Amino acid sequence: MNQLQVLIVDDSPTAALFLQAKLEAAAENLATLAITRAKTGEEALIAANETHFDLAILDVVLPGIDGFSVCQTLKTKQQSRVVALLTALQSESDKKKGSDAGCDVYIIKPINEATLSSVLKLAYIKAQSIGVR
Amino acid sequence: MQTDQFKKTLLTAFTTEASELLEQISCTLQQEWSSTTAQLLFRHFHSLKGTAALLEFENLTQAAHLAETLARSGFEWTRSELQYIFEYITRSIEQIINNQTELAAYSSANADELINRINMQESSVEKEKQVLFQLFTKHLLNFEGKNSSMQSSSIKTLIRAADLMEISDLSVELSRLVSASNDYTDEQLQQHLLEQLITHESFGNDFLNFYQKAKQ
Repeated sequence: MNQLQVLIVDDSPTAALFLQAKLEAAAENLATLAITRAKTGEEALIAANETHFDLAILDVVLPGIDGFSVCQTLKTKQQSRVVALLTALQSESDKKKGSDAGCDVYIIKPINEATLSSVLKLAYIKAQSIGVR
Repeated sequence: MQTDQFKKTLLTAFTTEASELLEQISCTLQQEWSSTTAQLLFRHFHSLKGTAALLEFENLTQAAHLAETLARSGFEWTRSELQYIFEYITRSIEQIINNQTELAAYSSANADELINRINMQESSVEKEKQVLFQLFTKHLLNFEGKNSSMQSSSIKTLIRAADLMEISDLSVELSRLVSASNDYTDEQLQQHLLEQLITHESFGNDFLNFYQKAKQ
């Protein structure tokens, strides 16, 4: 089975644990996941310098560098094929910030399993299309 | 996917994280007010809201959402309201931790029982919207013995809270009350405020019952 490199960025250990379990369930029969977890924007950028990710799922409200900035860096440096922002912030101005930062998907919490599954498939298809892994 | 063991792990992660966040909020509330303080409080309450929502603790989620909204406004007047909500959340989380400890002693208790019991207790102690009710009740009770200028100032605080929570019709009614406050005695003003609240669709008799209970 193919393997996808996934980055989860959330300062909440509970939320990260929950998201990881949801992702692993959604990935069943699709791919195995190699998951890296980061609690801050800074940790995320360090991880992205070491690993090229197929999918990065970022919380927006983080200590230090926020999710929008991390997203922008990952997209500019092409360090992740798909970047999803996962947040409870749902104002139009926040969505625009996400779009300006280049995110592929802006997901409003609570996590919708169908959306998560689609995002995972998107990452899978992108990884397949260039014949990697 | 959510096995019993996973739910228990999630619940443990939640109580650990929530306790840490409450400590951070407590420290931040003691700091001098600034945009940085407000931003920190917003972030902490936002994290609390997110984790409480994952475990479907509705009242806790709602309380944290109210605090997050107030903190995000950045206004210094929100500090006392944030302190008040913080105390409510602390009590709720203490209950959750106590329940968790108590039920963990019974090997037959599964995670669903744990979560259901916590939710049942949560709803019996605090119904929907009661954090908001508490906030308004606190101001109503504080009316006693205050002069009209202080009463008006208190109503203005409630107007801002109503605005932030997007209860715009209540905000309009309360603004009218402040404009006409010179026409009333202190007792009349308190009575009119109470009338405005109990006739409002978001408050109504539930609020009246809550207020009378708090007054006793």
